Amino acid sequence: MNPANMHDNDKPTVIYSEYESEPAIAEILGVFTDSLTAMIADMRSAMRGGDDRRLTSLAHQLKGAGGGYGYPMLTAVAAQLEQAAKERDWEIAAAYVAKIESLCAAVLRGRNSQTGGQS
Amino acid sequence: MKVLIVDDSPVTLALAQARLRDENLDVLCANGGIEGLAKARKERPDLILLDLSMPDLSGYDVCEQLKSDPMLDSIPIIFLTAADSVEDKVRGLDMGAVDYVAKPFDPVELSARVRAALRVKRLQDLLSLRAQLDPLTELWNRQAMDSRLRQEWARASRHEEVLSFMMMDIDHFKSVNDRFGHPAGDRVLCALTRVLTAQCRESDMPCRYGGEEFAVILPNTRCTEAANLADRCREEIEKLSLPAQDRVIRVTASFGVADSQCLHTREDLVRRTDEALYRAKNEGRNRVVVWEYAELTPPFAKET
Repeated sequence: MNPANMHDNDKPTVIYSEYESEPAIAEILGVFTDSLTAMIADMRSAMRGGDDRRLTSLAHQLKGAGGGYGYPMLTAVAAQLEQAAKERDWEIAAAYVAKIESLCAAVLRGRNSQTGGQS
Repeated sequence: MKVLIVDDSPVTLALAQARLRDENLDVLCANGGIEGLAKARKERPDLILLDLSMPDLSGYDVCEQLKSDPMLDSIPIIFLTAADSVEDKVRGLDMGAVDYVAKPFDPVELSARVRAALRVKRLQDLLSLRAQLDPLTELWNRQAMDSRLRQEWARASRHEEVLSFMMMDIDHFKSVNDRFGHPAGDRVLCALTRVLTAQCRESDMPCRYGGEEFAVILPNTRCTEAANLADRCREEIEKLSLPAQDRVIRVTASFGVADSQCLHTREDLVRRTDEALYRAKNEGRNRVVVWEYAELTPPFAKET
Protein backbone atom coordinates (compact mmCIF):
# COMPACT_ATOMS: atom_id res chain seq x y z
CA MET A 1 0.00 0.00 0.00
CA ASN A 2 1.42 3.35 -0.96
CA PRO A 3 0.68 5.81 1.85
CA ALA A 4 0.21 8.52 -0.75
CA ASN A 5 -2.95 6.70 -1.80
CA MET A 6 -4.44 6.73 1.67
CA HIS A 7 -7.54 8.84 1.75
CA ASP A 8 -9.88 9.45 4.58
CA ASN A 9 -12.66 7.65 2.77
CA ASP A 10 -10.50 4.44 2.76
CA LYS A 11 -10.44 4.40 6.54
CA PRO A 12 -13.07 2.37 8.32
CA THR A 13 -14.66 4.23 11.19
CA VAL A 14 -15.25 1.14 13.32
CA ILE A 15 -13.27 -2.10 13.32
CA TYR A 16 -14.22 -5.27 15.16
CA SER A 17 -11.94 -8.18 15.96
CA GLU A 18 -12.41 -11.21 13.76
CA TYR A 19 -12.22 -13.25 16.97
CA GLU A 20 -14.82 -11.25 18.90
CA SER A 21 -17.01 -14.35 19.16
CA GLU A 22 -14.23 -16.61 20.46
CA PRO A 23 -14.39 -16.62 24.26
CA ALA A 24 -10.64 -17.29 24.72
CA ILE A 25 -9.74 -14.16 22.72
CA ALA A 26 -12.75 -12.00 23.60
CA GLU A 27 -11.65 -12.25 27.23
CA ILE A 28 -8.23 -10.79 26.54
CA LEU A 29 -9.00 -8.34 23.73
CA GLY A 30 -8.77 -5.55 26.31
CA VAL A 31 -5.09 -6.47 26.94
CA PHE A 32 -4.39 -5.62 23.32
CA THR A 33 -6.67 -2.62 22.80
CA ASP A 34 -5.60 -1.04 26.09
CA SER A 35 -2.00 -1.10 24.86
CA LEU A 36 -2.71 0.72 21.60
CA THR A 37 -2.74 4.33 22.86
CA ALA A 38 0.62 3.93 24.61
CA MET A 39 2.02 2.16 21.57
CA ILE A 40 1.07 5.04 19.25
CA ALA A 41 2.67 7.48 21.69
CA ASP A 42 5.84 5.33 21.70
CA MET A 43 5.86 5.28 17.90
CA ARG A 44 5.54 9.07 17.73
CA SER A 45 8.26 9.46 20.34
CA ALA A 46 10.58 7.17 18.36
CA MET A 47 9.81 9.19 15.22
CA ARG A 48 10.63 12.46 16.97
CA GLY A 49 13.86 11.06 18.37
CA GLY A 50 14.90 9.51 15.06
CA ASP A 51 15.07 6.13 16.86
CA ASP A 52 14.68 3.75 13.94
CA ARG A 53 15.48 0.65 16.05
CA ARG A 54 12.74 1.43 18.54
CA LEU A 55 10.26 2.19 15.77
CA THR A 56 11.20 -1.03 13.96
CA SER A 57 10.71 -2.99 17.18
CA LEU A 58 7.28 -1.45 17.89
CA ALA A 59 6.14 -2.05 14.32
CA HIS A 60 7.45 -5.63 14.53
CA GLN A 61 5.48 -6.28 17.73
CA LEU A 62 2.28 -4.88 16.23
CA LYS A 63 2.84 -6.93 13.07
CA GLY A 64 3.05 -10.07 15.21
CA ALA A 65 0.15 -9.32 17.52
CA GLY A 66 -2.47 -7.46 15.43
CA GLY A 67 -3.63 -10.38 13.30
CA GLY A 68 -3.50 -12.72 16.29
CA TYR A 69 -6.11 -10.58 18.03
CA GLY A 70 -8.26 -10.51 14.90
CA TYR A 71 -7.06 -7.24 13.37
CA PRO A 72 -5.15 -8.31 10.22
CA MET A 73 -5.21 -4.77 8.77
CA LEU A 74 -2.97 -3.65 11.67
CA THR A 75 -0.51 -6.44 10.88
CA ALA A 76 -0.45 -5.40 7.20
CA VAL A 77 0.26 -1.72 7.86
CA ALA A 78 2.72 -2.52 10.68
CA ALA A 79 4.74 -4.69 8.28
CA GLN A 80 5.05 -1.72 5.94
CA LEU A 81 5.97 0.60 8.82
CA GLU A 82 8.63 -1.88 9.94
CA GLN A 83 10.16 -1.81 6.46
CA ALA A 84 10.10 2.00 6.29
CA ALA A 85 11.66 2.26 9.77
CA LYS A 86 14.44 -0.17 8.84
CA GLU A 87 15.16 1.98 5.79
CA ARG A 88 14.96 5.14 7.95
CA ASP A 89 12.46 6.56 5.48
CA TRP A 90 10.88 8.94 7.98
CA GLU A 91 8.39 10.51 5.58
CA ILE A 92 6.84 7.20 4.60
CA ALA A 93 7.08 5.98 8.19
CA ALA A 94 5.14 9.04 9.42
CA ALA A 95 2.37 8.28 6.96
CA TYR A 96 2.15 4.67 8.17
CA VAL A 97 2.12 5.77 11.82
CA ALA A 98 -0.78 8.10 10.97
CA LYS A 99 -2.54 5.23 9.22
CA ILE A 100 -2.01 2.97 12.23
CA GLU A 101 -3.28 5.67 14.57
CA SER A 102 -6.42 5.99 12.50
CA LEU A 103 -6.94 2.21 12.43
CA CYS A 104 -6.36 2.01 16.19
CA ALA A 105 -8.99 4.70 16.77
CA ALA A 106 -11.45 2.60 14.75
CA VAL A 107 -10.45 -0.50 16.72
CA LEU A 108 -11.07 1.33 20.00
CA ARG A 109 -14.45 2.58 18.76
CA GLY A 110 -15.37 -0.99 17.86
CA ARG A 111 -14.20 -2.20 21.22
CA ASN A 112 -16.09 0.51 23.09
CA SER A 113 -19.26 -0.29 21.20
CA GLN A 114 -18.94 -3.92 22.32
CA THR A 115 -18.15 -3.21 25.92
CA GLY A 116 -19.99 0.06 26.49
CA GLY A 117 -16.64 1.71 27.19
CA GLN A 118 -15.51 -0.98 29.63
CA SER A 119 -12.62 -3.04 28.28
CA MET B 1 3.25 -30.84 30.57
CA LYS B 2 4.93 -27.50 31.05
CA VAL B 3 5.28 -24.95 28.24
CA LEU B 4 7.28 -21.73 28.54
CA ILE B 5 6.43 -18.81 26.23
CA VAL B 6 9.21 -16.25 25.84
CA ASP B 7 8.32 -12.96 24.16
CA ASP B 8 9.05 -9.31 24.89
CA SER B 9 5.49 -8.29 24.04
CA PRO B 10 2.94 -8.72 26.87
CA VAL B 11 0.10 -8.73 24.34
CA THR B 12 1.67 -11.62 22.43
CA LEU B 13 2.26 -13.52 25.68
CA ALA B 14 -1.40 -13.06 26.66
CA LEU B 15 -2.52 -14.17 23.20
CA ALA B 16 -0.36 -17.30 23.08
CA GLN B 17 -1.45 -18.18 26.61
CA ALA B 18 -5.11 -17.80 25.64
CA ARG B 19 -4.64 -19.89 22.50
CA LEU B 20 -3.16 -22.75 24.51
CA ARG B 21 -5.77 -22.55 27.25
CA ASP B 22 -7.68 -25.64 26.10
CA GLU B 23 -4.59 -27.82 25.71
CA ASN B 24 -4.45 -28.83 29.38
CA LEU B 25 -0.91 -27.51 29.77
CA ASP B 26 0.92 -25.70 32.52
CA VAL B 27 1.73 -22.49 30.59
CA LEU B 28 4.44 -20.14 31.92
CA CYS B 29 5.38 -16.76 30.47
CA ALA B 30 8.66 -14.86 30.39
CA ASN B 31 8.90 -11.26 29.31
CA GLY B 32 12.09 -11.15 27.24
CA GLY B 33 15.11 -13.33 26.60
CA ILE B 34 16.93 -12.87 29.91
CA GLU B 35 13.84 -13.75 31.96
CA GLY B 36 13.18 -16.62 29.55
CA LEU B 37 16.60 -18.17 30.19
CA ALA B 38 16.18 -17.80 33.95
CA LYS B 39 12.74 -19.44 33.89
CA ALA B 40 13.95 -22.24 31.62
CA ARG B 41 16.73 -23.03 34.13
CA LYS B 42 14.37 -22.89 37.09
CA GLU B 43 11.29 -24.57 35.66
CA ARG B 44 12.75 -27.04 33.11
CA PRO B 45 9.75 -26.84 30.77
CA ASP B 46 8.88 -29.56 28.26
CA LEU B 47 8.65 -27.05 25.41
CA ILE B 48 9.69 -23.46 24.82
CA LEU B 49 7.91 -21.09 22.44
CA LEU B 50 10.58 -18.51 21.72
CA ASP B 51 10.24 -15.16 20.03
CA LEU B 52 13.10 -14.33 17.67
CA SER B 53 13.22 -10.55 17.98
CA MET B 54 13.68 -9.41 21.55
CA PRO B 55 15.68 -6.31 22.49
CA ASP B 56 17.42 -7.65 25.62
CA LEU B 57 18.51 -11.03 24.24
CA SER B 58 17.47 -12.33 20.84
CA GLY B 59 15.75 -15.68 20.38
CA TYR B 60 18.90 -16.94 18.61
CA ASP B 61 21.03 -16.03 21.63
CA VAL B 62 18.57 -17.68 24.02
CA CYS B 63 18.49 -20.78 21.82
CA GLU B 64 22.30 -20.92 21.67
CA GLN B 65 22.58 -20.75 25.45
CA LEU B 66 19.89 -23.38 25.98
CA LYS B 67 21.52 -25.75 23.51
CA SER B 68 24.93 -25.38 25.13
CA ASP B 69 23.59 -26.31 28.59
CA PRO B 70 23.49 -30.11 29.06
CA MET B 71 20.62 -29.78 31.55
CA LEU B 72 18.47 -27.84 29.08
CA ASP B 73 19.60 -28.88 25.61
CA SER B 74 16.89 -31.51 25.19
CA ILE B 75 14.02 -29.03 25.65
CA PRO B 76 12.40 -28.59 22.24
CA ILE B 77 12.09 -25.02 20.98
CA ILE B 78 9.49 -23.62 18.61
CA PHE B 79 10.39 -20.20 17.25
CA LEU B 80 7.62 -17.63 17.15
CA THR B 81 8.58 -15.28 14.40
CA ALA B 82 7.07 -12.31 12.65
CA ALA B 83 10.15 -12.33 10.44
CA ASP B 84 9.25 -13.52 6.97
CA SER B 85 12.62 -14.44 5.55
CA VAL B 86 13.47 -18.04 4.86
CA GLU B 87 17.00 -17.36 6.19
CA ASP B 88 15.61 -16.53 9.64
CA LYS B 89 13.59 -19.74 9.76
CA VAL B 90 16.47 -21.87 8.47
CA ARG B 91 18.88 -20.29 10.94
CA GLY B 92 16.51 -21.06 13.83
CA LEU B 93 16.00 -24.66 12.73
CA ASP B 94 19.76 -25.13 12.20
CA MET B 95 20.38 -23.91 15.73
CA GLY B 96 18.27 -26.75 17.08
CA ALA B 97 14.69 -25.48 17.06
CA VAL B 98 12.20 -28.21 16.17
CA ASP B 99 9.73 -25.93 14.42
CA TYR B 100 8.60 -22.36 13.89
CA VAL B 101 5.24 -20.62 13.91
CA ALA B 102 4.76 -17.41 11.95
CA LYS B 103 3.22 -14.46 13.77
CA PRO B 104 0.45 -13.49 13.80
CA PHE B 105 -0.18 -17.14 14.46
CA ASP B 106 -3.14 -19.07 13.31
CA PRO B 107 -4.73 -20.37 16.53
CA VAL B 108 -5.39 -23.87 15.23
CA GLU B 109 -1.89 -24.16 13.79
CA LEU B 110 -0.22 -22.98 17.00
CA SER B 111 -2.03 -25.58 19.10
CA ALA B 112 -1.38 -28.34 16.55
CA ARG B 113 2.35 -27.57 16.39
CA VAL B 114 2.59 -27.47 20.18
CA ARG B 115 0.81 -30.83 20.43
CA ALA B 116 3.12 -32.34 17.80
CA ALA B 117 6.26 -31.07 19.55
CA LEU B 118 5.05 -32.40 22.91
CA ARG B 119 4.24 -35.81 21.38
CA VAL B 120 7.83 -36.08 20.17
CA LYS B 121 9.12 -34.84 23.54
CA ARG B 122 7.19 -37.54 25.39
CA LEU B 123 8.68 -40.23 23.15
CA GLN B 124 12.14 -38.69 23.48
CA ASP B 125 11.83 -38.69 27.29
CA LEU B 126 10.64 -42.28 27.23
CA LEU B 127 13.56 -43.36 25.03
CA SER B 128 15.98 -41.45 27.17
CA LEU B 129 14.61 -43.10 30.31
CA ARG B 130 14.68 -46.56 28.73
CA ALA B 131 18.29 -46.03 27.69
CA GLN B 132 19.19 -45.50 31.34
CA LEU B 133 17.33 -48.48 32.76
CA ASP B 134 18.37 -52.07 33.09
CA PRO B 135 15.67 -53.95 31.14
CA LEU B 136 15.43 -56.92 33.55
CA THR B 137 15.35 -55.20 36.94
CA GLU B 138 14.29 -51.71 35.75
CA LEU B 139 16.95 -50.30 38.05
CA TRP B 140 19.22 -47.52 36.73
CA ASN B 141 21.97 -49.00 34.57
CA ARG B 142 25.72 -48.51 34.79
CA GLN B 143 25.70 -45.55 32.40
CA ALA B 144 23.03 -43.72 34.42
CA MET B 145 24.93 -44.53 37.60
CA ASP B 146 28.19 -43.06 36.25
CA SER B 147 26.39 -39.89 35.26
CA ARG B 148 24.62 -39.54 38.62
CA LEU B 149 27.78 -40.31 40.56
CA ARG B 150 29.54 -37.50 38.66
CA GLN B 151 26.74 -35.09 39.63
CA GLU B 152 26.57 -36.23 43.25
CA TRP B 153 30.35 -36.06 43.64
CA ALA B 154 30.32 -32.47 42.35
CA ARG B 155 27.40 -31.58 44.61
CA ALA B 156 29.01 -33.18 47.68
CA SER B 157 32.30 -31.35 47.00
CA ARG B 158 30.52 -28.04 46.53
CA HIS B 159 28.46 -28.33 49.71
CA GLU B 160 31.16 -30.14 51.71
CA GLU B 161 28.88 -33.12 52.23
CA VAL B 162 29.77 -36.78 52.53
CA LEU B 163 28.79 -39.13 49.75
CA SER B 164 28.66 -42.90 50.24
CA PHE B 165 28.84 -45.66 47.68
CA MET B 166 27.82 -49.26 48.20
CA MET B 167 28.42 -52.30 46.03
CA MET B 168 26.68 -55.64 46.39
CA ASP B 169 27.54 -58.93 44.74
CA ILE B 170 25.39 -62.05 44.94
CA ASP B 171 27.39 -64.93 46.40
CA HIS B 172 27.87 -67.99 44.16
CA PHE B 173 25.38 -66.66 41.65
CA LYS B 174 26.85 -68.79 38.88
CA SER B 175 25.82 -71.93 40.76
CA VAL B 176 22.22 -70.61 40.96
CA ASN B 177 22.18 -70.31 37.18
CA ASP B 178 23.86 -73.71 36.77
CA ARG B 179 21.53 -75.53 39.15
CA PHE B 180 18.20 -73.80 38.49
CA GLY B 181 18.63 -72.30 35.03
CA HIS B 182 18.93 -68.69 33.84
CA PRO B 183 15.22 -67.82 34.19
CA ALA B 184 15.52 -68.69 37.89
CA GLY B 185 18.69 -66.60 38.07
CA ASP B 186 16.74 -63.70 36.62
CA ARG B 187 14.08 -64.14 39.29
CA VAL B 188 16.78 -63.96 41.96
CA LEU B 189 18.08 -60.72 40.46
CA CYS B 190 14.56 -59.26 40.52
CA ALA B 191 13.94 -60.42 44.10
CA LEU B 192 17.18 -58.77 45.25
CA THR B 193 16.21 -55.63 43.38
CA ARG B 194 12.99 -55.50 45.41
CA VAL B 195 14.97 -55.86 48.65
CA LEU B 196 17.38 -53.13 47.62
CA THR B 197 14.71 -50.65 46.53
CA ALA B 198 12.62 -51.33 49.64
CA GLN B 199 15.57 -50.51 51.89
CA CYS B 200 16.83 -47.47 49.97
CA ARG B 201 15.65 -44.00 50.82
CA GLU B 202 14.10 -41.62 48.30
CA SER B 203 17.43 -39.83 47.86
CA ASP B 204 19.45 -43.02 47.22
CA MET B 205 20.05 -44.33 43.74
CA PRO B 206 20.15 -48.13 43.43
CA CYS B 207 21.64 -49.38 40.15
CA ARG B 208 22.50 -52.64 38.45
CA TYR B 209 26.24 -52.37 38.10
CA GLY B 210 26.43 -55.36 35.79
CA GLY B 211 25.83 -59.13 35.95
CA GLU B 212 25.11 -60.04 39.57
CA GLU B 213 26.58 -56.80 40.91
CA PHE B 214 24.49 -53.92 42.20
CA ALA B 215 25.49 -50.49 43.48
CA VAL B 216 23.81 -47.72 45.46
CA ILE B 217 24.75 -44.03 45.50
CA LEU B 218 23.87 -42.52 48.89
CA PRO B 219 24.06 -38.72 48.87
CA ASN B 220 24.76 -36.86 52.11
CA THR B 221 25.41 -40.12 53.95
CA ARG B 222 28.37 -41.33 56.03
CA CYS B 223 29.70 -44.82 55.51
CA THR B 224 28.41 -45.97 58.90
CA GLU B 225 24.83 -45.17 57.83
CA ALA B 226 25.44 -46.74 54.44
CA ALA B 227 26.77 -49.83 56.16
CA ASN B 228 23.60 -50.04 58.28
CA LEU B 229 21.53 -49.98 55.13
CA ALA B 230 23.78 -52.59 53.52
CA ASP B 231 23.45 -54.82 56.56
CA ARG B 232 19.65 -54.55 56.50
CA CYS B 233 19.71 -55.57 52.84
CA ARG B 234 22.05 -58.45 53.64
CA GLU B 235 19.70 -59.73 56.35
CA GLU B 236 16.62 -59.46 54.13
CA ILE B 237 18.37 -61.26 51.30
CA GLU B 238 19.40 -64.04 53.65
CA LYS B 239 15.74 -64.51 54.60
CA LEU B 240 14.60 -64.84 50.98
CA SER B 241 13.20 -68.16 49.91
CA LEU B 242 12.42 -68.41 46.21
CA PRO B 243 10.53 -71.49 44.99
CA ALA B 244 12.00 -73.13 41.90
CA GLN B 245 10.18 -76.22 40.64
CA ASP B 246 10.19 -78.54 43.64
CA ARG B 247 13.14 -76.84 45.30
CA VAL B 248 13.87 -73.54 47.03
CA ILE B 249 16.56 -71.04 46.08
CA ARG B 250 18.39 -69.33 48.90
CA VAL B 251 21.11 -66.79 48.31
CA THR B 252 23.37 -64.47 50.23
CA ALA B 253 25.19 -61.35 49.14
CA SER B 254 28.42 -59.55 50.00
CA PHE B 255 28.71 -55.80 50.38
CA GLY B 256 31.45 -53.20 50.13
CA VAL B 257 30.91 -49.66 51.41
CA ALA B 258 33.03 -46.50 51.34
CA ASP B 259 32.44 -42.78 51.68
CA SER B 260 34.02 -39.72 50.14
CA GLN B 261 35.83 -38.43 53.24
CA CYS B 262 39.50 -37.76 52.53
CA LEU B 263 39.10 -38.90 48.91
CA HIS B 264 40.01 -36.76 45.92
CA THR B 265 38.09 -38.31 43.05
CA ARG B 266 34.93 -40.30 42.49
CA GLU B 267 37.08 -42.99 40.89
CA ASP B 268 38.80 -43.37 44.28
CA LEU B 269 35.40 -43.83 45.90
CA VAL B 270 34.43 -46.60 43.47
CA ARG B 271 37.86 -48.24 43.80
CA ARG B 272 37.75 -48.30 47.60
CA THR B 273 34.21 -49.64 47.61
CA ASP B 274 35.30 -52.34 45.20
CA GLU B 275 38.25 -53.19 47.46
CA ALA B 276 35.88 -53.48 50.43
CA LEU B 277 33.60 -55.77 48.43
CA TYR B 278 36.61 -57.86 47.44
CA ARG B 279 37.50 -58.20 51.13
CA ALA B 280 33.93 -59.18 51.99
CA LYS B 281 34.19 -61.96 49.41
CA ASN B 282 37.60 -63.11 50.58
CA GLU B 283 36.63 -63.09 54.21
CA GLY B 284 33.81 -65.56 53.75
CA ARG B 285 30.98 -63.74 51.90
CA ASN B 286 27.53 -62.78 53.28
CA ARG B 287 28.93 -59.76 55.07
CA VAL B 288 29.38 -56.02 54.85
CA VAL B 289 32.86 -54.54 54.80
CA VAL B 290 33.39 -50.81 55.11
CA TRP B 291 36.59 -49.57 53.55
CA GLU B 292 37.42 -47.17 56.35
CA TYR B 293 36.53 -49.69 59.06
CA ALA B 294 37.77 -52.75 57.27
CA GLU B 295 39.63 -53.99 60.31
CA LEU B 296 36.61 -53.87 62.57
CA THR B 297 34.42 -56.83 63.23
CA PRO B 298 30.74 -56.57 64.20
CA PRO B 299 28.40 -55.31 63.08
CA PHE B 300 29.82 -54.62 59.64
CA ALA B 301 32.23 -57.46 59.18
CA LYS B 302 30.58 -60.07 61.28
CA GLU B 303 30.81 -63.76 60.59
CA THR B 304 27.52 -65.42 59.72
